[in-house]
Amino acid sequence: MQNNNKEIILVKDLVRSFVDGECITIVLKNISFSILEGEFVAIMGRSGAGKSTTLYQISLLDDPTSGEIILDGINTHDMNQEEKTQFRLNKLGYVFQDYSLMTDLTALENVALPLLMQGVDKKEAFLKAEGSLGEVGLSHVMDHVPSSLSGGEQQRVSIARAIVHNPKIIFADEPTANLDHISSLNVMEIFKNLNKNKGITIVMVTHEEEYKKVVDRVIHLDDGKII
Amino acid sequence: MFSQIISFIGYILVGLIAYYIIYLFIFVYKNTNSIRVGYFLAVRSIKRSNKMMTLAIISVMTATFLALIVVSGVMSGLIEGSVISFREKDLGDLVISPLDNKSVILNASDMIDLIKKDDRVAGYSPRYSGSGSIEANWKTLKSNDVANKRNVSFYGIDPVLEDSVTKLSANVKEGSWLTKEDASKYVLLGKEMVEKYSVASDIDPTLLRNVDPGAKVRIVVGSTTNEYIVKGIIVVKNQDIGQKVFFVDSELQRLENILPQNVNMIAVKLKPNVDPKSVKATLIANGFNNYAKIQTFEEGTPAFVNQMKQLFGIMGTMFGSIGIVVSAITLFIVIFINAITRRKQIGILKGIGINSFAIEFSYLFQAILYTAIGCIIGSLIVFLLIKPAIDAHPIDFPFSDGILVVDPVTTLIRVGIFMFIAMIAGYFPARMIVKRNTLDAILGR
Repeated sequence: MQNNNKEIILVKDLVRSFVDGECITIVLKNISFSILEGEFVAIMGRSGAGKSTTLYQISLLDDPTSGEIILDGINTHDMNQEEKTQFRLNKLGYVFQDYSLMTDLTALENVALPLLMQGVDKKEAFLKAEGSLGEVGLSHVMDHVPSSLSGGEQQRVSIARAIVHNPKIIFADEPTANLDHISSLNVMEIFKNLNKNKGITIVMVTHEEEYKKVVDRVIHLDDGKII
Repeated sequence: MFSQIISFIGYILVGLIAYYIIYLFIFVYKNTNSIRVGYFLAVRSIKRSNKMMTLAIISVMTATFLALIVVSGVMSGLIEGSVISFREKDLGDLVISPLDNKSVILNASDMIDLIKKDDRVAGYSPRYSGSGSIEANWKTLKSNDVANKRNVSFYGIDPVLEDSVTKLSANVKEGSWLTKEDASKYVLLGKEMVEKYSVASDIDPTLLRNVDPGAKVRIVVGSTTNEYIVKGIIVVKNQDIGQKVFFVDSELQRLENILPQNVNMIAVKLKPNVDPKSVKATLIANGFNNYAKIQTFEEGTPAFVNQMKQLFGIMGTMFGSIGIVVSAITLFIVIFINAITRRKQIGILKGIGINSFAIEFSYLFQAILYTAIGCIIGSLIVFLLIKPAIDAHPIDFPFSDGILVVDPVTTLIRVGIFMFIAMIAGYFPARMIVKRNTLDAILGR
């Protein structure tokens, strides 16, 4: 679902290379693209094409070698690490392939964490977290620790954590890769609804061709270039 | 000039402390939210951590506290026991001795009269001193044998007055205490000259052998030799008393031709909670400082005792410091391993927007908590178990009854140092891991 024509992600001449001794590997080769606010975009390509690397750059988890990334109108080039952390907290949400939940925390505590960091009152944070878990159909496992949940449930907790603070963009890195078919469809359904009903921009890395029909647009990568 | 420099440095220090306190308040105010989240993470981490691991960390902290407080406390207590023995069994609370250029206390009778009337005084003992030699077993001596003889110093005492100060009668382990009537017949011997009791029994050939109460000894003073019966052996861990032969005062006056007013020393015991300085001040106000050296126990303590106190204090601090370093390294390793095994989780926390200080604070809080629990348990063990036990049964050292010296202020200072070092040991490993690249941490590379 597209709300308007505002470019919420603007990438210009992005290069990411890795140095290992004398060997330099250029993973992203001058790529430029933009994503509009409210778009549901999939980044696809062969293994090693640079899909995840692109996601890590635009989600501010990694620093590009060169190029510019403008998120929600803000050029992130000059941000220091703490500013990037703050930006991620307030404007971005993440769903990782391996769920990446805090093992010491219950589902509810995992989801409430970003709100607590934002300074939301504890009671209010837990109420909102309950709401988010309800949105992904997990009201019944709020007090469970991740190890007692199935993969699909853990991924839904991860989604609840990603949306609890009303981010502008959700980044998802192969969110269904570790899930069975039913759970995968469930997760994709949740993403679709979030995009459609809340207008959240979603950028998802996937290699599953069948999700092409779910998303608004696909950015194809091959050998570090957009094709 | 010097005092001005000291004042200037003082102002700078006060300024710096004020600056850091203000800085700390501002820092805490600015980071309230990070502290809140750090606390939230720390509490959950502790609640759901491996209980055995937590127990092991707290045990290490408790052991360190004990090493820090007990080892140095026993080291100090070793000497303190000796100091207490000097006070209770020898010198008293106030020591009056001849002026530096005199051999006896002048105007002693008047001074004793004043002391006697002072209701702050619990007891006093005028002492006469002398020296000579003592010999045992001379009757069984064969022609080629070396005489069982040694040089000794004497105390001439009034048995009743002496006991009111030192209660040495309780330390006569064999035989009994002197009475006025014993003057020409009996003496008491300090244990260090008797082979059976001396700590030097294996190395000192001049110790008196086969000497028990009832045994005869021959005492030579000047050119006079007299025989006495040993009435008892004074067994006290005080090298000074242990080396003395005790006569009834009139007998030593006779042997050494001492006039009764020529007292060599007056030991004064004061009632509880009386400040020795106030009694000293009274004596000085009456002009007796012109006739004798009037010192409180602390002033009159032999210099070597104070030096030993300092030395053992330093040694105790050294052992305690080694304990702190070992525990700091242990805590560093524990927190480092804890943080490195949670590197991915730390990466995720950073990834979802939890700032570095919140994560670091969670580890810092754990270090503080473990250390505080260790200190509390350690304090309970020290103050409810070890100290009462040692007070009731002092440690049996050869030269003193060792006690445990734990004073609350020093303990608090050491706990403060321990906490500070534990904070550093807890904070830096977390910081090292948190500083690493977020994505590398998440991806575990």
